[in-house]
Amino acid sequence: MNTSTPTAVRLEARALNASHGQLMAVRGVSLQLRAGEVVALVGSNGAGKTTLLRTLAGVHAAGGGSVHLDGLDVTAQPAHRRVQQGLALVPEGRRLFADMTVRENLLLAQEHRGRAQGGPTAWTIARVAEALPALQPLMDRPAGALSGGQRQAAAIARALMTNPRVLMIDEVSLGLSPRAVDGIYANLAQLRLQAGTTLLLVEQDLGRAMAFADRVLCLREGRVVLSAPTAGLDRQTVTESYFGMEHIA
Amino acid sequence: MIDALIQGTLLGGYYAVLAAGLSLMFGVLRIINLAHGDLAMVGAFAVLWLVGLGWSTWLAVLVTLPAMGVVGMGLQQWVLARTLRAGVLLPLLVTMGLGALIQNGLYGVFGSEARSLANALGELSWASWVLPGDIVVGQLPVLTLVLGVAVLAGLQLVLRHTRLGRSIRAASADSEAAALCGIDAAQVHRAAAAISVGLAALAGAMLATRATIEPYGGPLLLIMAFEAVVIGGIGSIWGTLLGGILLGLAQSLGALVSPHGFYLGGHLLFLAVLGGRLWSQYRHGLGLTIWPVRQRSRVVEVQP
Amino acid sequence: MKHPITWLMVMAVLLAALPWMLGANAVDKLTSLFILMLLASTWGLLAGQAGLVSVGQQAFFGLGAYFALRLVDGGWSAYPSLLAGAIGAAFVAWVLSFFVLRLKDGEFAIATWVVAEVIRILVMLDPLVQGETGTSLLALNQVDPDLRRNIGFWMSLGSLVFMVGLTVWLLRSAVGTATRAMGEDDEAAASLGVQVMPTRRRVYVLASLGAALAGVAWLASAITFLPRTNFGVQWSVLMLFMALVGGLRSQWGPLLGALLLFALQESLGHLGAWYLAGLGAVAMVFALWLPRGLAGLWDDWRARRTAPSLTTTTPSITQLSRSTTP
Repeated sequence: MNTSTPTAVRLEARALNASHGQLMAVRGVSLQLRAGEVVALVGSNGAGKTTLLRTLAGVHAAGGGSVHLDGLDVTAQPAHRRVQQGLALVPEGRRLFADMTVRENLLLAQEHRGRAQGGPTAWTIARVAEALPALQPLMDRPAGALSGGQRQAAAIARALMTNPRVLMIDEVSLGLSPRAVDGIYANLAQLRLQAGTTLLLVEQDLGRAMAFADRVLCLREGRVVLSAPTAGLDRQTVTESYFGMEHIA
Repeated sequence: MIDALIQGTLLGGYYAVLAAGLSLMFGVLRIINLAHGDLAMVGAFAVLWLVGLGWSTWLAVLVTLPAMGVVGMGLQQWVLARTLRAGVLLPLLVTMGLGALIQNGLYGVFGSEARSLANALGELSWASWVLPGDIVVGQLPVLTLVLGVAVLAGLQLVLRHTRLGRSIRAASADSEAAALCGIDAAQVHRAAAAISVGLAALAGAMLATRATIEPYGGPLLLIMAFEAVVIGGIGSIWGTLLGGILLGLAQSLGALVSPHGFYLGGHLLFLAVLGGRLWSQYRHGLGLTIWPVRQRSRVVEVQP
Repeated sequence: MKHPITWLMVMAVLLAALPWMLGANAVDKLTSLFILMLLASTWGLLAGQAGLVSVGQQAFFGLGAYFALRLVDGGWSAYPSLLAGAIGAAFVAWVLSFFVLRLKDGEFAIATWVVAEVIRILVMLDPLVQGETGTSLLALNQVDPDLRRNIGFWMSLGSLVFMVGLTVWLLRSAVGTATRAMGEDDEAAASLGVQVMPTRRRVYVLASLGAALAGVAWLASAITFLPRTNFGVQWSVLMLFMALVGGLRSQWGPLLGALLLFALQESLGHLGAWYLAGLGAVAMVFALWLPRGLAGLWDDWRARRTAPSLTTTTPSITQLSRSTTP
C-alpha cells in the first residue's frame, strides 16, 4: 500500500455516538479509512463493534456525531441511500434471503445499486463468481441451503454486487472452519488486489486481523482505545488495549 | 349438490383475489388491514358510479384499479407508515377507524339503495352454458374465476421475475437486509400497498357483477379474505387460491343445509382449520403465529 | 389518586340517589352513559393494558342478554336471569379463551370477530329469537315502568362501579403489573417470569364479564333484543373510539372517552352516518397524532406544570422488577 502520497479519505466518522437501548454502545468514536486501506476492528464482546458498523451503515440511528463518505456527510441518509453511494455492510448473521437462490440474492443487490455505481468496472455476477469460485456451483441453490462458509461467501458476493467503495464485514471468521476462513481471506486478498476496495473488518481472531490488515482499531466500551498500523505493532499491545490493561509509559 | 360444488369453486376465484391483497399487505408490512374489505367496497362503488355516468364496465374497472392503487400508496404513506413505528396495536386501531369512516361515508354518499353491475353487463349477467348432465354454469362466474386466476398468475410472475417482485420478497423476509442491498423500504411498502388495495378494488368490482353491494358490506369481505388465507395455509399465492375455493365450497355446502348456513359454513371451516393448527402447535410446544408466516422471514413465498 | 376505591364508593352512593331527583329522560340517558363507560372501561383494559385488540366483545354483550332471555323463557324471574346471563357469558369467554388467546394481534382481532359472528348466527337460529326479528324480555313489562327504569339505572351504575373497582384493584395488584408488562412486550414479560397465558385469560374473562353486564343492563332498559343490534360490530367501533380517544393506557381515560362519545351522540347523533364517519375519522386522527388520548394530553400538561424532568408516561419494563405474578 502506498503511504507516501496522501490518499483520499473514503470513510470517516467524527465523534460518533450510538446507543443500544439505555446503554451508550458507541461513544465519541472518530475514525478515518483511506482509499484501499484494510482496517481490522477488534474488541471484546459488547465493546460496540457491531453497533459501530451498523451506525456507519445507517441501519442503526446515530445519537450524535457524523459519518462521511468520500467527504459527503451521509449521517442523515438512510441505509439504502448509503449503499447506493458505495458503502456496503455484510451484517452479522449474513442475513441472506433464504428462500431466494444465490443468484437472486445477487441480482437483487445489482438491481438496486446506485446509478453512480454502475459502469464497465462494476461487479457483475460473472465477475463475482470468478472472484469467489466456491459460489459457482451454488448459484441456483436456495440461500438457506448453504453451509456457513458458503453463506459467508454469498453474503460478501451480494455486498459486492452493490459495487461498494467501502466494504464493511461484521465478524469475518465467526462460526467458520479454519479452512473456510482461509478461503474467505484469500478472496478478500484478491479483492483488495484487483479492485482496491477499502475494507473495514470486524475480526475476533487477533492473529488473522493483524496478519491481514493494514491497521488495527481496538474498541473497548464503545471508545477507540487503540489505532495503529499493524506493521511494527506487537500483539501484546493489542491484547492490553483489548482488555484494558494499558501501561502508561 | 353438484351445483353447489360448482358455485363454490367459482366463488373461490374472487375470494382468492381479495385474500391475496390482504396477504400481501401483511407479508410486507406486518399489518392486517382491517379496512381491506371496505376498500374493496370503495372500488365497487367507484366502478358503479362510473358506469352510472355512462362508462362501459370494462373501462370503469380499468380506470378504477390504478386509481385505487394510488389510494393504497397514499394510505401507506400518510397513515400506515406512521402507525407502524408505534407497534402492532395502532395500525389495527387506525384501520378500524378507517373502516368505520369508509362504511359510513359510503352510506352518506350513496345511501342504502342496493346496487349492482348486473344491468350494465346486460346479457352476460345471466348467460350460461349447459354442460353434459344438464348442469348449468353461469358464464359470468366462470369469467370471474378465470380473471381471478389470471390476476393471481400475474401477481406470481411479478413477484418471481421482476425487480419489484424481488424487492417485495426481500423486504418481506428481512427489511434490514433489504436496505443493505440498496432497497428503499418505503418505496417497496408503497408498491405493496398499491397492489394490495388494487386487488381489493378488483375483488369489489367482481363482487358487484354477481351480487348487490352495500356500504356496510366491507367487514364481511374482510372476514372472508382472512378466512381464505388461513384455510389456504401456506403463504403462497396458489395456497391462497386453494383457500378461496375451499371457503367457497364450505359456504355453498353450508347453504344447502340452512339459509343461515352460507356464512356459517365458511366460519366453521375456518375455525376448524385454525383450531387444528393451534392444536398441532400446542402439541409441538411451539409459540408461533398461525398466520402462514414463519418467524422473522419469508412471507410471500412464491412456490411454483 | 389516593384511595380510588373509596372515591368510587362515594361517587356511587351519590349517583345512586339521582333517580329520585331527576326526570325519566335524564335517568335513561345516564343509564346509556354508564353502559358506554362500562364498555369503554373493559375495552381499555383489554386493548390498552393487556394489548389485546378484540373486535368481538359484542359477542358477550349479546350473549349475556341471550342467556337471560333463555332463562326467563325457562321460568326464572327477570332480574336474577340477567345476572346469571352475564355470568354465563363470562363462562363462555373463559372457554373461548383457550382458543382465541393463542392468537396474537391482527389474527386475534379477526378471530374474535369471526367468533362473534358465529355466535350471532347460532343465536339467530334459536326459534326464541326469531331470526332477525328478535324478541323482548316480556317479563319486564310486568314491572312498573318507573321502577324498571330505575332498576336499569342501578344495574348499569352497579355494574360500572363493580367493574371499575375490580379493574382498579386488579391493576394495582401483581396481576395488574403483569398485565401491563404483557401489554408492552409479552416476550420480555415472559422471560421475567410473568405467566402470560393465565394473566391474559383473567383479563379477557374480566373484560368479557364487563361487556356482558353492559349487555344485560342494556336489555333491562331497552327490553328488546335484536341480534343485529345486540351483536353488532358497531359496539366494537364505539369501544375503540372511547378507549382510544380517552386514553388507552390510562385507567380513567376510557371513562372520559365514554363521556365524550355520549356528548357527541347527544349533539351530533342526528347526523346519522356522517356522525359515525366522523367518529371513525376522529379515531384515526387520535391513532396517528394523539395515541395516548386525552388522558395522555392531560398527563403531559400536568407534567409540564410540575417537575420538568418527570413525565407520567406509561410504565416500562423496568418497573417489572418489583413484581411477579403469584
